[in-house]
Amino acid sequence: MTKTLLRNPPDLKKRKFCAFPTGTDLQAQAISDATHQAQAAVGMADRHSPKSQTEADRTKKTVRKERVRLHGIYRLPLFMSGEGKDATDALRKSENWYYAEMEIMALVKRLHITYGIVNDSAIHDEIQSPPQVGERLENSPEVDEGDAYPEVATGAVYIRDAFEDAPEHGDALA
Amino acid sequence: METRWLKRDYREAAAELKGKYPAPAHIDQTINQQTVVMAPDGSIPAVLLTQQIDPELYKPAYELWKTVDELPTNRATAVGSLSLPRQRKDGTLSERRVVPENVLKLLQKQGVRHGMLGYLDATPDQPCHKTPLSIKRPEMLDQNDLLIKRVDELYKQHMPSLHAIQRAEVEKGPRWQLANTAFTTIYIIKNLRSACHADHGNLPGVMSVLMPMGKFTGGELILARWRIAIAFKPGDLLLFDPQQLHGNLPFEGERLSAIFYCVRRIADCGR
Repeated sequence: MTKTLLRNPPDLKKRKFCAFPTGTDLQAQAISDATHQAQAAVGMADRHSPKSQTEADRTKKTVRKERVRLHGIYRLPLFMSGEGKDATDALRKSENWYYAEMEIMALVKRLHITYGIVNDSAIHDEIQSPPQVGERLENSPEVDEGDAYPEVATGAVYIRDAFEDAPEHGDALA
Repeated sequence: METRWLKRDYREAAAELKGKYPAPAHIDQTINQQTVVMAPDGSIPAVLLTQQIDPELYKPAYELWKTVDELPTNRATAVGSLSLPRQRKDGTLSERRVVPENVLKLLQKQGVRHGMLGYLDATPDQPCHKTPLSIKRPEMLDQNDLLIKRVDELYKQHMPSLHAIQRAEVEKGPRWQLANTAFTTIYIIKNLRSACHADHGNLPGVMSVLMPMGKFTGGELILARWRIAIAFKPGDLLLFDPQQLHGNLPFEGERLSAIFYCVRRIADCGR
């Protein structure tokens, strides 16, 4: 017997399977049962929800006319320290803001290419017809999902004015 | 101080326990004395400090902190359940995923509640901020200044290098610091016997400090990877790495745990 054990030491892989048998105490069982019930309820609700209609119905209902996005302000939420915000405000007020803005735009466009969102030629086309600063923006029927400040985006605004009107990113401690 | 050397690492096998309740069969040894637990590679997974916190410090904290009243709707793995889409009153499913309602009702019956004190780092939805509980109940922090400092002092005394790393991180944003310590946040959990889970909101590579309170028996903390149970009682402190899978054995009585830690991205919160 001893010899057999020595010849066949405990297999570590088998040990892995028996090292952590699932706990079966009442509390564990109660939570497990409740979770299974909830899973079943969610499954039922999912089957009966409008989403569970036929693929054709779903496509018919969800297909929306593709929205044409107009030139305008794109709000890019960036989390900054208080000092960063102050410095950025100062930069925007400075006479160099025009150049800084151009540099930021160039960086964003480079990132579009770097991360494969657009190709070079698309950027080239865009550069051919840049939006005019100060050009009046059209009222958009919808709020851009990417806009941090929808209250600004829903009205007709001028690019320069919008910077002045935009609220600060909320200071949590204020 | 005793040093307990661990011989084997069950990391892979233990991973299967995620979201499941630990059982006595999952442990090879229980630690209940002042002990430094050493892993085979020389790292320290846990340090148990016994009877280091004066009752005069933890009892008032217990009275204040036991009034936390939120349900852990966002801690599916820790409560041993799943995060499922929330069902609206009309029966349809929301995109928001939470701990199922019937599981929450069970937890509510068991007296499970939780709350966060101090500061949290930024998420895609909100910037760094003070927790709503700290704003609503400022005394929960203000009246426990000495306790927070004492916990920090013991952490510094027993794990000086990790404390220094954490302290340096917190000092990048002193505005988000608790009582001039290496902590930003205290998580309070009442009456939860947690399933095996790992916490990932903490600063990696350092320790969290767990302080148990209340009148209870059992509830040992299991570090599944090492097959050890840590038996603690009020007055003890446990320093451990919360990013390793951990959970509790069943307990009886009322138990409150306060976990003192530093949030992961505090350095990004700014000064």
